[in-house]
Amino acid sequence: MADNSMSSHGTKMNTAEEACSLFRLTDSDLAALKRLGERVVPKMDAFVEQFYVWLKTLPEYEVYFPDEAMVQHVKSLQRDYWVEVFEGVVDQSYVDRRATVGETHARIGLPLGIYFSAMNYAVTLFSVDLYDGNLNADDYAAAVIALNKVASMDTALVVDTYARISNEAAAAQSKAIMEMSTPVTQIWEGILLLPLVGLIDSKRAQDIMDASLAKIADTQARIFILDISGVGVVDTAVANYLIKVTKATRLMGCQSTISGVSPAIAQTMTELGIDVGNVRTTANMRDALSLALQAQGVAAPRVGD
Amino acid sequence: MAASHPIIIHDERSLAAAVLEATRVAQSAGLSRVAVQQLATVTSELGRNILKYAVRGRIQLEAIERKGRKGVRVVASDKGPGIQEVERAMADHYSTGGTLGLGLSGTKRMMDEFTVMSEPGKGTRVEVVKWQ
Amino acid sequence: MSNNCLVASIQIDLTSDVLEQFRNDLLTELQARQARGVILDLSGVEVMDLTDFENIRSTISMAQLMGASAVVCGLRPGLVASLILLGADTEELLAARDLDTAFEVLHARAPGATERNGGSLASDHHP
Repeated sequence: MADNSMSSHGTKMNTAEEACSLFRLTDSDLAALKRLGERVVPKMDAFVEQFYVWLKTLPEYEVYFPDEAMVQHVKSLQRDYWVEVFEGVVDQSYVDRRATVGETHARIGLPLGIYFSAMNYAVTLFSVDLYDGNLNADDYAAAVIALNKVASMDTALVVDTYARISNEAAAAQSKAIMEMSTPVTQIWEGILLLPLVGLIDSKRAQDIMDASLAKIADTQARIFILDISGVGVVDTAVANYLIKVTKATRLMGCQSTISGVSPAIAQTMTELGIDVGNVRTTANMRDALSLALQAQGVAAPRVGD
Repeated sequence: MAASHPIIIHDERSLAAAVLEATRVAQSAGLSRVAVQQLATVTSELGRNILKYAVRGRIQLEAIERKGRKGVRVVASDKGPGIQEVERAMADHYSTGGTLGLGLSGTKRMMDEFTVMSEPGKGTRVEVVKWQ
Repeated sequence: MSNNCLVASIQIDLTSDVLEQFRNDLLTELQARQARGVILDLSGVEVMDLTDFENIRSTISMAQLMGASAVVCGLRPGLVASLILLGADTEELLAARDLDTAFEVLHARAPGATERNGGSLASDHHP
């Protein structure tokens, strides 16, 4: 159950078969849909008009439809969309076009609530308002069920696209944050400082490694201070990343100090059995800096002097 | 006590979410600063084991109370390959060379209660409790 | 005179033949010149796998057995990152950024080694 709740990860709707199977959409559903289509497709213009009467009542309408040309363009797309639904053919190009529709809506930032509501209203219009009563009861029931399945499937395809686009946006954003989050800075002649904040994953560990080594090569620094006072969790994997960075800097002739080891971090690291080897560690950045300045032959001013 | 929703662990981002949630639950249960750190670290270790060995699993965090004492329970479960030799997996064999142990012995040291159930081929369930 | 330091530089792509030739030349020179220190300049090396690294490390151990201190210098960032990710054992290795700092490191280690530059050994000849 838990797995199914995450549609973008757990259930695949990449192909027409997968999408149909997820919504139990069968050939007889599609046939029923076609029969309803024969009744309602001729009234498609009336559908579009009524749909827009409703749409105009929404406060957001003005935002998304700034001019008449836009309205006409979207109306014709809307018409084509539903004509295709009632053709009763769900193939790959159908699925791809739904993804495109989702993408368009996501890019303009249409709230999903409006999208759901619109799909629901369209289903009501086709199955109640515009339906002429000329199907037998069984065919009508089958058609309504089929229409609901298709509308839900289309909505799911669109939501998937929404999710993908917002994930992409989030990924781009976190990449930007990531780049800002490895500010290796030369704080003194020959001394580099990298204050780490937040959680460290494997991607970030790699960024830290690359940024640190590049900066050492650029600045010819002799001492590298890695301050972890802002790091949330140091588990064995994170410790391993940090130790690797210190080993790498040493190969470039630059000694690393890990500073900012709080009592809580010191305790968890020891209990986890982490051995930092010969890496120098200090409780706070001030101690590390003072040691670094001494090593560089600078008399470090004491706090309070 | 209300159990929070299980967090599905399937990538590093979901692991980060679990670690943050562990911190939040531990703080609101009134755990000490060190205990909060320990619980977050243990959650991270357990989550990483899921990603490494089972690819997918879940972590459930729960604030609990027994005889007026508050605590937090973490349950990490997966349907992965399971642990062949639980005894051996519990042994310390951390090395700086990158061959990590499972971090289970450290996990046990940091927690007040620790249970591991594992069946080869069926999966693993680790339950830990940290008291206030 | 034994107060000298050998600078050995590898400027071509590493192969096991190159490394073997390099080792032979280095150890022979080390004895001939009675050098106390060795600097391995690897700034010209673009790619190094774990086997190459182990090979160089054992050459260093051999030089140490012969009484010399050894420092590697000039390793490139990309090369270092991949060596570490491959799990290279770098514990006992002395490293410096460039030749100048390598001399400093060597001087701190074995003051006698850097009093006079004894000579250099460049392994840019093909075997």
